[in-house]
Amino acid sequence: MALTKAPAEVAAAARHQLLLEDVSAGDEIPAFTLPLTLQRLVMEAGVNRDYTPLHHDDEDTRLTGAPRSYANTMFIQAFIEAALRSWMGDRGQLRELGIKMVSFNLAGSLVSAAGVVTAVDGDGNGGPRNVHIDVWMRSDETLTVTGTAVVSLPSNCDSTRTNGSTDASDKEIAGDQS
Amino acid sequence: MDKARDVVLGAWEDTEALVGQVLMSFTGADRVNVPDIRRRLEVLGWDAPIHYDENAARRAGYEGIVSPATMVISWVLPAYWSPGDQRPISGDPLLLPRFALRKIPAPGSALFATDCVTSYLEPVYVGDRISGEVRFLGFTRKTLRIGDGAFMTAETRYRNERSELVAVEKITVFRYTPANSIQGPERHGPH
Repeated sequence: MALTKAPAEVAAAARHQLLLEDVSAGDEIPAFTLPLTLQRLVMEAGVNRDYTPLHHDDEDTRLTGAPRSYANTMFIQAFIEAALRSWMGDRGQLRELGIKMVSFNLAGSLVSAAGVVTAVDGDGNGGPRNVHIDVWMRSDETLTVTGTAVVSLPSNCDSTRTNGSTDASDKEIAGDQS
Repeated sequence: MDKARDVVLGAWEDTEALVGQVLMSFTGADRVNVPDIRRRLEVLGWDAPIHYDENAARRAGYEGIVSPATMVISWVLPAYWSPGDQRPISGDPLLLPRFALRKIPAPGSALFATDCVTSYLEPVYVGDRISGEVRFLGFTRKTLRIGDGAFMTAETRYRNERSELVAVEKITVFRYTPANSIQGPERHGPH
């Protein structure tokens, strides 16, 4: 099935955009969830091209001490990126992601990624506009990943420098690229 | 030997000799492309128009459809088979990605990733071909409850065809001899 959407739907998705001024320390990144079936791990192996049996073969995985197949590093990184992207919108940029593996994201569990803003740098006036975030993942109730992320966000100052509207800022950017 | 691990065994002196060295360079089998990005979104049920819609990407300030930043590792993985290679036969070894930290000679065949920090410096666009160069930064010997081994760290620098650095990744693994199998030195075992 194609992912292509009708223009109105695309426009609606594009309107969801967090600005630097919207964000404060303590803000929560909503949980992004996925039922991590073994079938989905097989799909994931096809996507990231790591065919290590630990990530799709329960029997082989048990030989290593883990209870069953579990997600690999590339899945974890992408899953956290998806959580951050869904929160910040299209014009945010992931600058850095650091993760520490604590436990396994197991086949058959509901995995989730979430976070909390720890600091906001800059005021959007030409300086840094980075948001620092603690991130984590769970496999059902088990904490599996901890980490930190840095994202940059657009600012109200972007549109103020044009004509004061965010929509105008979007048009300016589109114009710059044409 | 655990068939899933595919590691090179050796002594710690062999490990030390590689510190600071480039372990591996590789270029992705395919250019960054829309179908592979689509499948990345599909498996996660992840809707982000900059990764499939040209206009949305341009509105967001990109030059065109941009890859999810975290796909950079997949973009450098080489092919598992290419024209001219022998066809698969029964008994072939497992098809495993050639992750560099498996290829450092050291005692112990077991390993798992503990930390990974990646800086994303430039957007990766559809049409880019990404290359990576892995350098061994060093190791710290450590005995944990699960076995004796070392934390090993490697840095991968990812570049596009214009030689722009698009991402830098530091990954650390714990490479070890499991405590319940120390009686059998593995350094001369099969790889």
